[in-house]
Amino acid sequence: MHMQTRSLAADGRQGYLRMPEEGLWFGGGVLAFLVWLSTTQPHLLFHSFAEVISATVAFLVSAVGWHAYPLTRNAFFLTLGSGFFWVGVLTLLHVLSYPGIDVFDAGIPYLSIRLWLAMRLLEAIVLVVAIRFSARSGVPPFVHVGLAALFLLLLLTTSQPWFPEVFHEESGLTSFKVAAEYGIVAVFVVALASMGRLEGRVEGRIIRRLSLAIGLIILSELPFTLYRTLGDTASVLGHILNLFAYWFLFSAAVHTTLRQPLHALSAEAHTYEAFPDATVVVDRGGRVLQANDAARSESGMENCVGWPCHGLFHPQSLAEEDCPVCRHIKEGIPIRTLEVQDVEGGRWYHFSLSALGRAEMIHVRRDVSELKRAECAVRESELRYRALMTHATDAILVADERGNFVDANRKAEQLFGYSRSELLKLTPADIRLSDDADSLERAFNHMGLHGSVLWEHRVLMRDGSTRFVELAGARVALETNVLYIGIFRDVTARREAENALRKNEALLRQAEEIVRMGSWDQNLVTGEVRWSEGMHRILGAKSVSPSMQRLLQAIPECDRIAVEALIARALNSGQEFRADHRLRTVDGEERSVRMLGRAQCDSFGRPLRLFGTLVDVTETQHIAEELKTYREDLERLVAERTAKLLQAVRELESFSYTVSHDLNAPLRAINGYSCALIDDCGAHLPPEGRAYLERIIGATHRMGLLIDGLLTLSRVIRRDMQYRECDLSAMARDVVAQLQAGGGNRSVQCVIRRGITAEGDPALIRLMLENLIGNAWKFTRDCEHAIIEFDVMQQPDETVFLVRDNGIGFEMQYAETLFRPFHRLHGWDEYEGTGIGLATVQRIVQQHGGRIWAESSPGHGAVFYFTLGPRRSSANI
Amino acid sequence: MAANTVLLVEDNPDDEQLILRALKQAGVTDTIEVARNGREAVDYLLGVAAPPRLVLLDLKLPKMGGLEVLQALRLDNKTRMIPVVVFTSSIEKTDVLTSYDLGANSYIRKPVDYRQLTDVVKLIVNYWLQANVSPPRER
Repeated sequence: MHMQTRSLAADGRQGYLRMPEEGLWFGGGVLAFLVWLSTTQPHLLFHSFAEVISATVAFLVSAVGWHAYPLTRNAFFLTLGSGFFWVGVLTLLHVLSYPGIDVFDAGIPYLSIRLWLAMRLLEAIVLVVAIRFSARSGVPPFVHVGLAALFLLLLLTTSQPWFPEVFHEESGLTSFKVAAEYGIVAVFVVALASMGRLEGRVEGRIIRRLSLAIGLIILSELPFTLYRTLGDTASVLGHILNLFAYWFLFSAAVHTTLRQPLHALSAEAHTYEAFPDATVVVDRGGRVLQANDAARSESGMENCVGWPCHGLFHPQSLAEEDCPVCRHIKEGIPIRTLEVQDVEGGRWYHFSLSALGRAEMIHVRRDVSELKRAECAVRESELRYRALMTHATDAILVADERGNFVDANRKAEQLFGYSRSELLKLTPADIRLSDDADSLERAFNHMGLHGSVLWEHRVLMRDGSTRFVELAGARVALETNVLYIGIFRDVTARREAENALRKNEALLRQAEEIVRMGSWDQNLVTGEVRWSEGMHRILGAKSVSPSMQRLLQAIPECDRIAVEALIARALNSGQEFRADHRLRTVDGEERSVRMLGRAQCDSFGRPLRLFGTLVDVTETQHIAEELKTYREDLERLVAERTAKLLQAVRELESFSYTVSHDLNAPLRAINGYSCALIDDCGAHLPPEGRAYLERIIGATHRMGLLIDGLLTLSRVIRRDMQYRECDLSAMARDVVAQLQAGGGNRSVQCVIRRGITAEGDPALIRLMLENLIGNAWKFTRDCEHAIIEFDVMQQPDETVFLVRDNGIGFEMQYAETLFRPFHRLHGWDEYEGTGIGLATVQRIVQQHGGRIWAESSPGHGAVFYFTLGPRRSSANI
Repeated sequence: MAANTVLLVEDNPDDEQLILRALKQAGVTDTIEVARNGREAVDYLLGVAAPPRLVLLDLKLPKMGGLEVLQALRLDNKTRMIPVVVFTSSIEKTDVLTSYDLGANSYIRKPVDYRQLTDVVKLIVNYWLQANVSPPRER
């Protein structure tokens, strides 16, 4: 479609398309000769011949310029063609009105010459206009209309009677004619001067030809100002030059608008054939109209024209209705690239479609299977590399030729303490070694020089710690660059283990000395025996050469038999043996020793080695005997105490049971009979007697409370603790509600912090809060504005709970005695109470592993602090 | 049909006296039988033709404890529906729980203070004898 003059570069190379300049002159020369030949005939023939050729050329230029335009998009030739049509018409009119032919006379003298002037002027103007509009992509319609209008104007003007005289029978050309010709020459000169504007739009060679044509026209104008009669030499010369000019004009037009597009077409046709992808032209029905070489060979059909392209080129796993390419063809929608897999053939294709006119499409199929396979291979290789990097148990760092890290795995991040992105900004020089000013750079340089490196060093990590790192590195040459791959392994643990082993060996030597132990080792194959230093020490001789015989001889006869039997059994069974026996030292002293030993056998059960230890237990035995005595004493003691304790607990239980039942009954009797006495005989008693009875009743009542308090305390002591998460705030609110319900119409402001929780025995904690808050309630009795608070303080190592009141308080000197049972700070008649409540509270706190203390000053309220043990209790505020 | 009888199981004569007095003060007109030990109570209850309307049962009793009495009553079809109020000095948690487990209808602690005792007895009487709330009985 776009077959413009793109392929002109090929023009010069391909000789058969080239029109030689000499040929042009030759052609023009032949034409001119023919015209000249006609001068031998009457002038009329010559003139008609010459002008008809000119008119023909004008029409040809017009036709070629006009019709080639849709292909060439050459605005210059379009404008030229548009104007030259009128030029051709004027030329014909000029011929037809020539004296002697006189088809158009109209009684105007020398109309022919007038029309000639009009034609020349129009021609010059057309050239100027065409050059003016050559740079446009299209020619505006007004140009065509304007040129047609100009033609009409010129035609009408020249045929007017008032038009100046142009030729005189006697004197020849009038001065008007001469002046007009020079005027026209001026316009031509303008055209010639503006030829430069065609640069880029029209090939240089064509510009030269056009320039030559205009130059020849200008040249031909000179004879036309000189001739005296219509047939003289000047006139003939003018026409011949003019013919030459028209010849060049024609050749330029034909070359640009016909030869070049045709050549481009031909080149594209060759390209089409040479195109390596199967390329076909299809109609909207999907039928192949034209196919290139590749299409023919890929489809395997010498002539695939007329066949449906789906069957030839599309994956056969798809039905035609489902085929996306066919759908696009049917709908006429172009595709840039559509990737389709032929599942059956296992191939991948790229399809592209472009519209060719309205009813046809160019259909290109490119087989990209190899490309895909290569892509897959690259991707798989990349995945393998990634997997290796990810799952490697060692840290891997990859550096490029310039020494920048280009890759790092997760282990590397963990080892060096940098994130991957941070590592990729570093170079080996940034990772320092711990003890000298050197860095990893040295190792990487070594890789560069020697191809690989194996190296171990203490490396400084990001967090300042140092690790022993083993590096195995290699230089890997790739196609385009070189990589340095370093594999790092943290061998700190191994190094430390080695160090520890060395230390342990030293320690073992010392330990052997301290615990009077020695070790022995007999190689049963070679008979070689090794003793540690401890063995010599036990035997009391340094110079004794180690041998089993010597060791056994040091054992007294009676023990030796048993030891030898044990050793023999160990050798047979491969089991461990243990022997406690006596040993006579070199000095004759008898020691108690313990021998531990074991045989090591090969896979057939044959003993290879017998080894073990020898411990001097003489002192240990003494100590053990003493310890045994102590232990027996202690066990007896513990048993006795435990029995006593159990007895005490049993007694306490039975005591409290007795108390609750038997102590209450007489009290109840005293109380009850006193009441009965008042009720039944009150009238006979004097007032003092009744008052005494009331006192008896009061006393028994208090005694009952005391007994209850004691019972409660004993229950606290006996209780098995049951730890749960307790909501202390909720319990405190409950207690307050209870007090408020039973406390008459007192108004007490209670401030209880929400969400105080702790771990403890719920029943005991409740009891404790009842006592503490009850106390606060009691001792704020006389306050105008009583306030009771329950709060918590978070101390660094414990949680402190507190109950604060603004009651009567107490002297701090009594703070310690408060918690003793039956201890009271106030008289019975002041504040009721048994003196057991705080003792119970302290007991509960102690059961929880906490402590309790109080702060107060008389008249300023009191604060009771308590904790519930540092480990179990937890408070959330 | 139950007779207009209340059985008081109480070994302590003082307590017996005071409770009888309190019952009288509470306006009880029923015949009040007294058993001095558990054995006596069980024998009476299993032997009597018309069971009492209420049993006030002490726990610490000679010969046979209150809990055993309760167990024996609840095992016998004839006596198992008789309302039993355990009336004792004990505030041991095990006593309370065992009593209810064995089928006591109520567990009330005997107060030391006689005025409180009369209040408590009034409550018991109001609930079990005078209020028109009769416990479910066997036909």
